[in-house]
Amino acid sequence: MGTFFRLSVVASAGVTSSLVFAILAFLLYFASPLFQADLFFDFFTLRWDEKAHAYGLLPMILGTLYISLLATFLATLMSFSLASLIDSFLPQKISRLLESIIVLLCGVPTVLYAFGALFLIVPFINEYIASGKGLSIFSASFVLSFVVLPTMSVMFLNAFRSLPKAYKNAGLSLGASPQELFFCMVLPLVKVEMMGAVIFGFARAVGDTLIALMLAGNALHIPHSLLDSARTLTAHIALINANDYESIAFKAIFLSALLLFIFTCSVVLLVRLMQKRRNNG
Amino acid sequence: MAKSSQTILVVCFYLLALIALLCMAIFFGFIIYKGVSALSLKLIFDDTPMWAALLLKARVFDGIFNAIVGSFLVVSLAMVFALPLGFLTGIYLYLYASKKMRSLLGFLCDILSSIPSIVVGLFGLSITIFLHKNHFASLFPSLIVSALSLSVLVIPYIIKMTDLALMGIPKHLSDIGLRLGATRLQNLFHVQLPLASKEMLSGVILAIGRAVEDTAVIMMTGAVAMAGIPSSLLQKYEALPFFIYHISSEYANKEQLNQGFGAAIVLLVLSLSLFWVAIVLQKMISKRSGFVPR
Amino acid sequence: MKKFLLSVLVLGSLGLHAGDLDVFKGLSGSLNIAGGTAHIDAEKEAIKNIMQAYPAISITIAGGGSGVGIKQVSEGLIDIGNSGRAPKTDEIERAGLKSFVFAIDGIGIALNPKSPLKELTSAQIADIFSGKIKTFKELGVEGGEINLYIRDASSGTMEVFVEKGINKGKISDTAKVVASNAAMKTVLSNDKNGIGFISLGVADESVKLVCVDGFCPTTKSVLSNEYKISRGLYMVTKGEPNPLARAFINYLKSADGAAIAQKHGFIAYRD
Repeated sequence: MGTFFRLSVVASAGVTSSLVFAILAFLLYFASPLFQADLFFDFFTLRWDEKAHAYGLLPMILGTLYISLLATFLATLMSFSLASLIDSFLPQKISRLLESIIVLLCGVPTVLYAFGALFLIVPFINEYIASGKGLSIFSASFVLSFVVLPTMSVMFLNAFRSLPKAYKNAGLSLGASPQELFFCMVLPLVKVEMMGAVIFGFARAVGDTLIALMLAGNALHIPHSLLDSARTLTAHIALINANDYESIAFKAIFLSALLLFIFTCSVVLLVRLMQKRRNNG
Repeated sequence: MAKSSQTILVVCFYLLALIALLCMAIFFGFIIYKGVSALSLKLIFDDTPMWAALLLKARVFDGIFNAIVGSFLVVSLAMVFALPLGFLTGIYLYLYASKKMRSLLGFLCDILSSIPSIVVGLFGLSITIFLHKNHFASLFPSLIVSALSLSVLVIPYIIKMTDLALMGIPKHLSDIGLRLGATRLQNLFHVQLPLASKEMLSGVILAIGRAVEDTAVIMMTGAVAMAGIPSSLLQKYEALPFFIYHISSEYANKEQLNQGFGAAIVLLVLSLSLFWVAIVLQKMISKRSGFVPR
Repeated sequence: MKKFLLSVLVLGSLGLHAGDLDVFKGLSGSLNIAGGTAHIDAEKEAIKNIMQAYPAISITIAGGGSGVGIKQVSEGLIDIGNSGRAPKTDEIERAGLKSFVFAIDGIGIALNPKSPLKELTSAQIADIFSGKIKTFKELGVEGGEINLYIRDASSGTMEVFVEKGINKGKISDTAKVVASNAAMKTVLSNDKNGIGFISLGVADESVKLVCVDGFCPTTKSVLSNEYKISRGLYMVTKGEPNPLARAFINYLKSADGAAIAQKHGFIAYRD
């Protein structure tokens, strides 16, 4: 019994840990025909046009960056404010209520945000802000920021609370106000955790498919303004997935997936390194 | 920092928080307003009598019943694959892994949990096409492919939650069996797992919630617009989140759009109640902070 | 083309012909269909009729676009691929495809219903979509900058539009891409400066269709080929269709099927 259990435990660990490698291997295998020098660099050009055999992924890379950076920026502003208020500035009753609401919001399905926004925000922008710009970087980032907001708020809150209670008590007994305590003691001490929350939000924004697919317009050009439409790498995968399985276009989406994979790994690595440095220092 | 600038910042906090809450309120008000008016038995069962549909005696065509059943099937199946693997790996991490192994597995787990779900979907799809061409001609994107891909998505959550739950047991309770002369395995089954069970359950519920709401994976691996109730694992199926996505891009008239809003409400209630149960469970265990969903 | 169109039958009646479902007698199993988004609603209705009468049969249908339909049927992943364009020669040769037309559909140049624009010439359409004409002023009507909407590369509607609507001209890369005919309808009904193209079967009062070179898109003008942007709605199989697929195709080409096609805004086609 003991050995059998141990065996199955080790085997499961083997299987789950090899999943990451399996995904990587498959992406590499399917993208491998593209790793020929004369072809490979074509993927990092500015134009995607299957008819002209141009397969530049840069518009999608830029689209991904613009949309997720803006979304992260908006979400950081809002979730940082919410978390600070809950932690230090609101009366306990209100702050408890607000915290429960935010935690519950973490469970809202992403497709709902996209669906609701398509019939609320897109027509609103078309009608009152800029005609025809409803499907744009702005709509997608704006909605995406609300998708990552609840989780980011919870992470900020956890960051503020990671300090030992004794620190706060010491500060209070020295006569500091909650406001001074928050700005002068809490914030400087939890920088790394806060960075972690922001990076996490950014990674989620980059990985999201539906919001950009349904709200960003998916145009294949280099976006020049916030109200331009753009296509993200994730939406590109969803759209080109429809293509001929033998075509270069279809193989190129494995390159897109590979880029997303590499991005994910670097983010995780970065967060780990930051934590390690903090723990050592 | 000067006191006045601090006060200005706090005012900004209030402003930004108000804007955020207001937007959320308008947004959810809109969804609920639109959705609740669409809610009815007809939305779910169309013209088919409810009991006949529930007992699978009659087929439903224009209702979301098939999508609800499809979601239920694909998620349950995903959990059948994910739970044993996730639990056992979590136990490995806690019980057997060396410090180095722990950090390596933790790293892989973090990567797996942050891979975009569309990439996981593409992985499932490409393996299926590969196998279909080379080995199993009868394998298509289907219920089983979606379930396996979804399980890849949720396994890291289950591992993490299992490990955290076991780690969270206070030291003096955790070792109680060992000190009474039990083996490590006996201690695990009779002391540690029961102590961690509630938190593990809440982890499972969170994982279910994650699997229910995911759209990107199932749209790549076998969810379709109309399928009825699948009678085998190799059939295509309907699912709630995909139904909502499908309606948003292909609705033909007002009625179909209303159905979309109705389905949105059903999915919202489903996800939130799952999530709420998980939170209540967490609260019951302790007031320990550090709870980060997803 | 003329001969092809002469064989088109327009059916007036919407009554169901009880016998037409008989083609499914004795059949069971599952049939998977995917592809063109214009087909979906009509086929959904057919599927409902079939599955109600024959509980042993289960049929699934998915969208994705004509390219998906043709590709997946060539791979053997589905039984019938829907396509809003004829399969290309290389596609037919590679997988031994057979295609069956069940309806004729026009593609309309569509605008927001509030737009004052009523008519365009083919040359204007080509210039609008290439980005040469940028505002409604240049077309002589009130309005701001034009917003172009097109479909993704796997769309049959898009291919036919490029071929017959703008004579294989270039399309500006600022055009926004939507994923289905219905999505086109949604964005155009929300954008008073939008221009796009849409299957006549899917179009309704939420968009406005313009006349091209003096001919408005109607059943009559499409049939007479005076309105030139039109196409067949194809069902594509790999080799000879299997018995269930055969029955499905026959059903859509029966009097019942023709009535369904017509109800959904297409011109029924039976050979």
